[in-house]
Amino acid sequence: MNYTRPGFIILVLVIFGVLLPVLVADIYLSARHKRPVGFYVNQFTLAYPWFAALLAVVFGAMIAHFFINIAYA
Amino acid sequence: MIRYRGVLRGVELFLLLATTLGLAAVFGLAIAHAFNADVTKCASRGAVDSRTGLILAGVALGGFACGRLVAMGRKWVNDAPVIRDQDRVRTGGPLQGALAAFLALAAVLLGYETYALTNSASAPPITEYVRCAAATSPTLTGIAAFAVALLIGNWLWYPTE
Repeated sequence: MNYTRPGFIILVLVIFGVLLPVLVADIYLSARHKRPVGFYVNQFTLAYPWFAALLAVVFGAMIAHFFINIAYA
Repeated sequence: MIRYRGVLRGVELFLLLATTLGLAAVFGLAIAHAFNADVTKCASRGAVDSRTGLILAGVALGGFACGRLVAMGRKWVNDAPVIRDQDRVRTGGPLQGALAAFLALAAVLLGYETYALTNSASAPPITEYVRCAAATSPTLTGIAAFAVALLIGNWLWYPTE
C-alpha cells in the first residue's frame, strides 16, 4: 500500500481538531459558570436515545475494528 | 463537603486547563511524528505484537468508563440540575451547526474510505493509517484513544438523575 504523509497528518488533525476545541469551549463555559458542552449533547441524546445508542455501537465497532488483530492486518 | 464546592470548581478548571495543555502537547508530538516518520515502514510492520491492539482497545474502553466518572464528578461539583427528557430540545444554533459539521466530516471520511477500499494499492483505507499509527506509536495512539473515548463516555453516559 502507498501510505502518504498527508494521510497521517490529516488523521492527527481530525482527532485533535475535535478534542481541543471542545476542551477550550468547556474551559470558557466553566469559567463563566455556564453549562458545559456535554449538557447540550446530553439533552440531545435524551431526546433521541436511538441515535445515541447507534453512535455508541458505531464507536465500539470502530474501536474493535481499528485495534483488534492489528498484527495480522 | 458542600462548602468545598467553590474550591472544587477551581480544581475542575485547573484540571480542564491542564488536560487541554497536555493534549496540545500530545498533538504537537503526534504532528511531529507524522511529519518525520518513515511512512514506507507501514507496509512491512510484520513484527507487531497482537497484544498491543487488545491493550489499546482496553484503554479505549477504560476511557469510556472514566468519561462516566468525570461526568458524575462534574455534575456533583457544579450541583448541576437534572437533565430532563424534553420533546423540544433547545440545542439550536452552535450545537446544530457543530453536529452538521461533524456529520459532513463523517460523510467525507466515509467517502474516502469507500474510494480507498476499491483503490487500496494507491490510497490505503483510514483503518490502515490508524493501525499503522497504533503499531508504530502505541503510547500516543493510546492517549488519543483514551481521550476520544472519555469524551464519548462523558457525552453518551451522562448521569440523568
